[in-house]
Amino acid sequence: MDEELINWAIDKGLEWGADEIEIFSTYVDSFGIEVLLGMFPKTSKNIDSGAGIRVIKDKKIGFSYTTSFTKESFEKAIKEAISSASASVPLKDWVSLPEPDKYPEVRNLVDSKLVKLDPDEIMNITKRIISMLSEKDKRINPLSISSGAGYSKTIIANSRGVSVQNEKTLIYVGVGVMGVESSKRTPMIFEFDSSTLFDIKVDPLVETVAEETLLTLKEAKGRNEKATVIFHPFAFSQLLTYTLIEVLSGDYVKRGVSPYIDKIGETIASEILTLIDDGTLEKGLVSGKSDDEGVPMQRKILIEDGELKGFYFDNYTGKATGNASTGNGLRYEMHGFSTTPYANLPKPQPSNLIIKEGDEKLEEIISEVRNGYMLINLQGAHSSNTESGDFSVAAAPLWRIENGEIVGSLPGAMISGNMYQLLKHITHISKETKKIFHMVLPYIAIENVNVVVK
Amino acid sequence: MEDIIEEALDYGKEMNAQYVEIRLQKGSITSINIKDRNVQKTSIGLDVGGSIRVLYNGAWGIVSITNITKEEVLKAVKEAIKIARGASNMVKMPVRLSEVKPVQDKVKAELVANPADVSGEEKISTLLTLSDGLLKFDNRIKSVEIDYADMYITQYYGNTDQTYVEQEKVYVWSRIVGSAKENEVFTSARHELGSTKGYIIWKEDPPGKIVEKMGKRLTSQLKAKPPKAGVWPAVLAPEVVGVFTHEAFGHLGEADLAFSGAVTLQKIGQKVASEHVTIIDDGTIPGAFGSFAYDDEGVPAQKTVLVKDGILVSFMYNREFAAKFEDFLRMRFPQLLEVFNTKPTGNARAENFRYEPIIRMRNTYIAPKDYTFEELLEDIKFGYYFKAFRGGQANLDGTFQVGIQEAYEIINGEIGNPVRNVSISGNTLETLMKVDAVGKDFELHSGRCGKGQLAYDGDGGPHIRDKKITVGGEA
Repeated sequence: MDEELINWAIDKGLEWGADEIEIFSTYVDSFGIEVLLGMFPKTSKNIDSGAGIRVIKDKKIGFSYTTSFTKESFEKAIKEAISSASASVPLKDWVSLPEPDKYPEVRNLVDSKLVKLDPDEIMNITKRIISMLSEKDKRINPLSISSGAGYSKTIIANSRGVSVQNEKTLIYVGVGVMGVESSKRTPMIFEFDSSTLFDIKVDPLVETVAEETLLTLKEAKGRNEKATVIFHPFAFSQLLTYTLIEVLSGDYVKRGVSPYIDKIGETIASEILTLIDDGTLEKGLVSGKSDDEGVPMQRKILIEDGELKGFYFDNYTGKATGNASTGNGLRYEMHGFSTTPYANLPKPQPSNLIIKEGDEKLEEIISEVRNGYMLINLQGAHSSNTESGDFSVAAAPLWRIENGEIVGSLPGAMISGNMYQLLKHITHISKETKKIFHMVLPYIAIENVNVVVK
Repeated sequence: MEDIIEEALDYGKEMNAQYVEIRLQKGSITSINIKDRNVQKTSIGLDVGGSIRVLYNGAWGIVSITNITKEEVLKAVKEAIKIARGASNMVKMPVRLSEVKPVQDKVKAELVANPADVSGEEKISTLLTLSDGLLKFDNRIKSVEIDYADMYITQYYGNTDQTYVEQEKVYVWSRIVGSAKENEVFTSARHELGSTKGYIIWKEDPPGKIVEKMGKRLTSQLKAKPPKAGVWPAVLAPEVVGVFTHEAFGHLGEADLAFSGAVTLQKIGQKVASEHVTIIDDGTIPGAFGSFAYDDEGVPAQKTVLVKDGILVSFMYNREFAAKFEDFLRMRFPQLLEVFNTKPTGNARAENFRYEPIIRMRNTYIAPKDYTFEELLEDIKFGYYFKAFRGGQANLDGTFQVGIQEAYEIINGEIGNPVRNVSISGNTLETLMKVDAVGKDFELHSGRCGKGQLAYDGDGGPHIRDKKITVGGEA
């Protein structure tokens, strides 16, 4: 992945007929282990490098990528990108690739201990979790215990003079268990932590998983009703991803399909809700000097005290709508279908999303609920209607709260509602937050949520 | 490629690996994205890489690389052995692979039309016609997004059990998503197409008909009302039967998930559905999106009956989990080995060289029986007709959720008003037990499934009737 080859490619791209050209090149080295049922270890190492090449010719966009870093492969890919552009039709509102800019310094994104990684250290984390779980209640069965770490380096360069390099390390741990008691089974109970530094703590994960599993094994009774539901960060992150986050993107704004167009400055949520997208977050999974097309990362408030403040844009949608990129031109796949970043064009996607914590402890919030529920995780968020905000999901699991106490779970329950209406019915936000991949979210209590029990 | 693989396998054996497998790939992937009337992406990717998988002291070591020179492949074998050895002290039961007949074969793609022979201009023009057609169908239709991809992949596979397979795989796929708005009501519709026979998706499913179908769905749902939450009898159309069969039952029939304690684990050889239900996973249907010649362990694809007249008779396996179930039954329930299959079924699939092969579905469906659509409806006083879905998800405990994009009331045996924002949920096995009639029609739809990695597959069936389905909505 040498810079000389990248510079050569930019010169050649222009020579072969591109008006503009961009090279996005990455190198990733990662290691992971997953132990199934506490018994069957599986280790894997991925060394993945590739370059995505975007060319613009007469406002037509062409793209190609290659996994091989030789002049021959680059030449082939550049020519494929140019011929793709020729076959396309002009994007009338295309302005230009990003210009050079000043980049922020974001702290704590690289841990040298993870750059030169010893797989044994990662394996030891998993061993420790398995041994901790084996000392817990026999009804708690390990399903999948995993841990992993990786290092990535990215170079972005374009014919307008952008040239920026990002480096990052990552470590993660996942604990998935199932509660089993005679013929009763809980849904998978899962806890997860990740960081850019080797500073994750596994003990609290194991404790939480154990506690949640035993609570879920206890069955409670509920009824079909509209009630207060406290959303666990896991559950809320999924609903957010398929509804609100999507419609705040520059893509929805540019195409005129966001329900929030022309609503800047209006109150769209409870006044205790503040939502921030921050690409400069220390130790953030999607933090960096620049986004994936070389625009500086930024911190931006999307919703402040319930008031809509703005949207997030990539270079194309920002310039095309008369705004500017907010440093959200990213190439990862938010919706989980696996691809490598260099195989994708950038599009407006959130960086690190933060809901500002509240000032009540979760314990206090629960104790105030006389008749309600707590939703830990769910199934089917991806079937939500993004534009309307309607969702109807299976709860997995849903806990019943009676007179301020969690009394058990309700297998087979469903939760439904309209996200954009429910945002106005947020009554409490917890002090505690959880990191769910690129989101940092508190527990959120919402009233008037539809609960349907089996 | 064959010589690199041979040398790497020998090297692994010399290093005392129990099993080594090398999978090298070269692919060319075209993808196009259209938003409304704008072509936002036209891409041709050159995807080359390899996957090395070894068993050492009963533990797996897997390495994927994008540089597949002989030197790098040998290095990867060494690395795979090193990490497997590192994990081998955690092994409580060594991995064993079920035996299969070695195969030597070279499989060429059999195409009706090679996507590489169709110009980029022509592909784009068809997609633009489709997008434009939908936007013009009705002015309440506000947005259309179309994704298109075709990929031509050559795979070179060899393992130390004497199997060597070269295989060409061609996929052509597209998905159209539209949305409409009137006052404050939003509706959306999606349609997905796929083929392994080449560039014939628009011949099999012409753009004009897609516009008509999606246009009607988008606009009729604008007048729809929310459903009544609760438990109701329902008729499921083939598309919904397909996603239900895949999501709700299929995942529980994957041996790795079953082994992890899915509800099906306790039901081996037992009744899991009403006697009207036969469920099949078939990788041999010519041209179907989930069909292929050999899976990614070199095992031939086959037609696997999972549920026969309501009885669970097989899971879907790769070699590792076939052996696990054989050992498990032999130890605990040897009498079940006669009524329950534990031979590999050819379900080991990897999205590409970046991933290891895991157990995935192929074309999964409920077999048709004898009812007409009218007969299915006639006994229902009040219930729902679920015609098209948008997404679904299952959990190991046997609960499923399927989002519905087109649904109607059934009143006194007749189709009534449309309803919107519906999703159905329940316990899979309880729901399958309550299937009381199965139609005689049949459709297979193309789709994609995510299980940490992506797989192309098909699902379908006839119309079916279920006595009790939980419908989410207003409490």
